[in-house]
Parts: sequence; C-alpha cells; structure tokens
Amino acid sequence: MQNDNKEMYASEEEIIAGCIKKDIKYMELLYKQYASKLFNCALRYTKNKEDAEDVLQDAFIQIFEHMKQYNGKGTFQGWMTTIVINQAFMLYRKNIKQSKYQLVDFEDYKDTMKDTSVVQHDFLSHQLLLEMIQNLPDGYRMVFNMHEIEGFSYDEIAKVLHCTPTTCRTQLFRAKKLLQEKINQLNDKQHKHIH
Amino acid sequence: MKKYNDIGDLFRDNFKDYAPVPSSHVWENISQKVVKPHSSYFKFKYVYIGATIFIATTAITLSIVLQQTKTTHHVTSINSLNSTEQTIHINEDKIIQDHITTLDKTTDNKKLIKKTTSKKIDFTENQSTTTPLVEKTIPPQLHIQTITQTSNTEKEQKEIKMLHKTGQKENFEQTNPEYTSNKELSVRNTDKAIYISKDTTVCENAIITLYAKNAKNIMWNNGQTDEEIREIINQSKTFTVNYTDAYGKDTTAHIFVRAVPCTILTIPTAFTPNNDGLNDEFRIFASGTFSEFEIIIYSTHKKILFQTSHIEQGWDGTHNGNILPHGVYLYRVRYKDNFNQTIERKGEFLLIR
Repeated sequence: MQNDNKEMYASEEEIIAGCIKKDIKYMELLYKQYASKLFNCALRYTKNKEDAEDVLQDAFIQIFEHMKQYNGKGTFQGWMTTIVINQAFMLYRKNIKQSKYQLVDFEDYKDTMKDTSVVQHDFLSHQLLLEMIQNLPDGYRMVFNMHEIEGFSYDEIAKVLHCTPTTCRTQLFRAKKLLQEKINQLNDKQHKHIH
Repeated sequence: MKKYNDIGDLFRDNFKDYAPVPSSHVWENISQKVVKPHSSYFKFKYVYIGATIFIATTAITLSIVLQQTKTTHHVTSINSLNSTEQTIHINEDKIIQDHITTLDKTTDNKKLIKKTTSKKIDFTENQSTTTPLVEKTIPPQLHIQTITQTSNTEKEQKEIKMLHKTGQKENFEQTNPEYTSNKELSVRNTDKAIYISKDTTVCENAIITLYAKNAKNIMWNNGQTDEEIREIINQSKTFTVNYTDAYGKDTTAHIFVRAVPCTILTIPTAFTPNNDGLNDEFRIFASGTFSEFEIIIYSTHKKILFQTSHIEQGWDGTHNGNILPHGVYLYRVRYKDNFNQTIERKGEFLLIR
C-alpha cells in the first residue's frame, strides 16, 4: 500500500484542494492520514466499535461533501473532529428516540467529592480505559469526552446537549466519580492478585 | 505507576497518542458513497432535476388528494355519530303517559293521536338508559272497531291509539295485558304490538335496558329469556333477540349499541417552557364529566416533580424553583368518570428546551 502511494505525497492544502475537486486519490490520502485519529475520537463517543465505525464513515462522507466550507479557521483536524462529534451526537439522539428515555439529572448536585485523583498502574491499557468510557451512560460519556479530552467549556456543551451548564457540571462529576470507582476497583483487584 | 491529580488528565494523556485502526470496509463504503453518485449526478444532471421536480409535484398533488379524502371521511363519520346520538329518545313510560293525558282530555274516543318521535334526552344524563320502543310487525288488518270508555278511574282501562305514519296509516292499539274490564270496552283484536329496542349510542360503562316487549318465546343471544335485559356496555356490540311474532312466525332482531367515551382527555406529548406564549405549560385538556381528578408528574427516576388536583393548573417545567432540563418526563392521571369508576392513565411527554 505504501509503495503504491509513494508518489502521492501531498501537503494539507493540496489534499483539501483535491478533495474539493472530488479527486478520489486525494480523498484516500486524507482518509489514510486522519482515519486513526478520528477513529480514536469516534470510539470514545460511542458504545462499541461497530457504532464508532458507522460514525466515522458518516463523518468522512460529511467531510468530503462540505470540504468547501472549511475556512481555515482553527486546525483542519479540529474541524474534522467537530464533524465526528456531531455525527456521534446524531447517533446518540437516534438512540434516545428509540429507547425513549434519556438519562437526566435535575437535582442540585451537592458535590462532596473534591478529590478526583487517581493512580495509573501499568496494567491500565488503552483498551481498558476505552471500555470504561464506552460503558458510561450516554449523557455522561458525551460530557466527559467534550470537557475533559476535547476541552469544550460547559456553556458550549450545554448548547449542544440542550441542557443547562449546571447539569453538564453535575454529569461530569458523576462521570468522573464512576470512572474513579472503576479504576480503584481494578487497582484493588490487581493488588490482591499480586499478593 | 503514575499519579494523576485529576482523573481527566489520565484519560487525556492516554488518548493523545492512541491511534486505533478502523476496519477496511469503512473506506470501501465511503469511497462507494462519495464517488459514484456524484459522477453520475453530473452526467445526468438535468434528467435528475427533471425527475425530482416531477416526483415532488406528484407527491404534493397526491398528498393534497389524500388530505381531502381524509377530511371528507372525517366529516361523514362525525355526521353519522350525531345522527346515532339523536336516536336516543324517550322511554316507554313517557310515551304512554303522554297518550293517557291526551286521552283524558278528549271525549271523542276515536280521535287518533299523532306522535312525534324526536325528543332528545341529554347525553350525559343517560345513566340508566332505557331505550326507545319501536313498533315492529304491525298486523295490517288491525282496525279499531268500537271503543267506549266509561270510566277514567283506572289507568288500565285506557286505550292508546296511534297513527302510524308510514304505510297505509293503520291504527293499532296497545292494551294492558291484565285488562279484565267488564265495562263496555270492545277491542276486537287482542294482539299486541311488539316493541323491540332500537339501535342506540351510550356512554362507555353505562347500564342499558333492552326490551322485546309483548313478544313470545324470547331468546337473547346472551341466553336470557326475559322481556327486559340489563347490560353494562363496555364496548360497542350487537344484541340479537329471537322471538315469535303475532303470526307465530320466528323472527330475529338485531340491536346495535354503540359505546362512546364520554370523558375525553387530551394529553399533549411535548411542551416548550420558553415563555413565548406557545405551549409553555404541560396541561391536560378534558371534555365530558369527571370528578376527583389528579395528576402526578415524575422524572424518569420516579421522583415526584409536580402534583395537582386542578385540571386547569399546568406544569411549567420547574421543581422547587429549579429549571429542569430537556428530556422525557412521566405522568399519571387518575379520575372518576360519570359512572364513578376510577380510571388511570399513564404516559410520558417531552420537555423541549
């Protein structure tokens, strides 16, 4: 594969221009460069690998269709990441419609948990961490990813999720608490196993 | 082993360089979807545009036609309902009393009494419905020959004569079965007109009384053999009665009783509390009679958010002054209908922000 594309090395601008012209060679090049980075993002926003691949596929189709609309503001990868996140949200909303119940928190969350520190042992692999995120409730997973990893503000998340910033904060704390419990449990288990 | 002060940092660090590889079919699907439709789209651009315009116009005309047929159908169904409602008229006692009073006043025994049959009783007052009596199988030879009435003391001695509107305008009479007067009443034909309940419409759960008066060998389809049966109507159904008519002929009559809900609650499925004056409150609208209304609104975690017994009172999407987020909420409604039966309805609705 790499041998085939030896002459096909192009800069970001060239790739974008090629994709606007709907040149399949440049499209493939773009896919090869960014697929794994965007797949990383898609995996974190969905429940399993199959959903993530669906999201990635739809996102790339959107990217190729709306390539003209990329105006150079922000990084190209960031622009594509937002498209992936949007696609993940569309899937999330579809799931809400199917299951009809959305996980919502309305109470004032009096947060007593200030300590969110955690210890990473060597056994905590990418795969384990990913599974933890994927097993979070839908709403928690969205907020946690957007705020902690992509670095969106509460107000931005609230706009996307159609909820109040307070709710976002509450959900984030709960997500963190769940993850912390999970990691501590695994740590304890590992500890017992060794001794 | 590495210690993180915040759990978010752990995940951010770990996923920064994480590069999983998606399956190969993803790119195959993308390349198929991206390239093929576009190349053919440019070749047959005008064909596509023409086809889409054609499809759109046919779809619009179709939908218009469909809508029209739907609305007309709706109107006719309402009309038919109205007409059946109007067939609830009078109970028999009333008719007889009417005629008795008219007879009291008249001295001329041969005077014929005309009767109109379109009185309407209020729909909701119809709790123990007695259905109207209809004359069936009137013997055509029936003629009143002489009627002399000498005493007004006993009601049994009254005769009721009716002018039948249709056909040959036969006169017929109704006499009491226990008629044993030795006074000079000379009614020659002792056959009695047979009265069968007419088709009718009642409220759901109403108790209805059906008649097959003066008929012999009565057999209802529920096994009863009485002249009068009482039934609770939960749903629309047809009663069948077999009887022997005045000529000794076996006859079957069908009585259709339609049950309609008399308390109709309209419960919205969503509301938008954004103070724009449109659907700012979750409110239930009701028509008909009911009592002891109660509504409880829950969250999906079964926490009670709102409770009231006044139907006019709506919920504005807050709890203890806190604005609640977009999402699904549950309700439970309880009320007693006009037959004092408790009815409960549960469901869900969407709060849209």
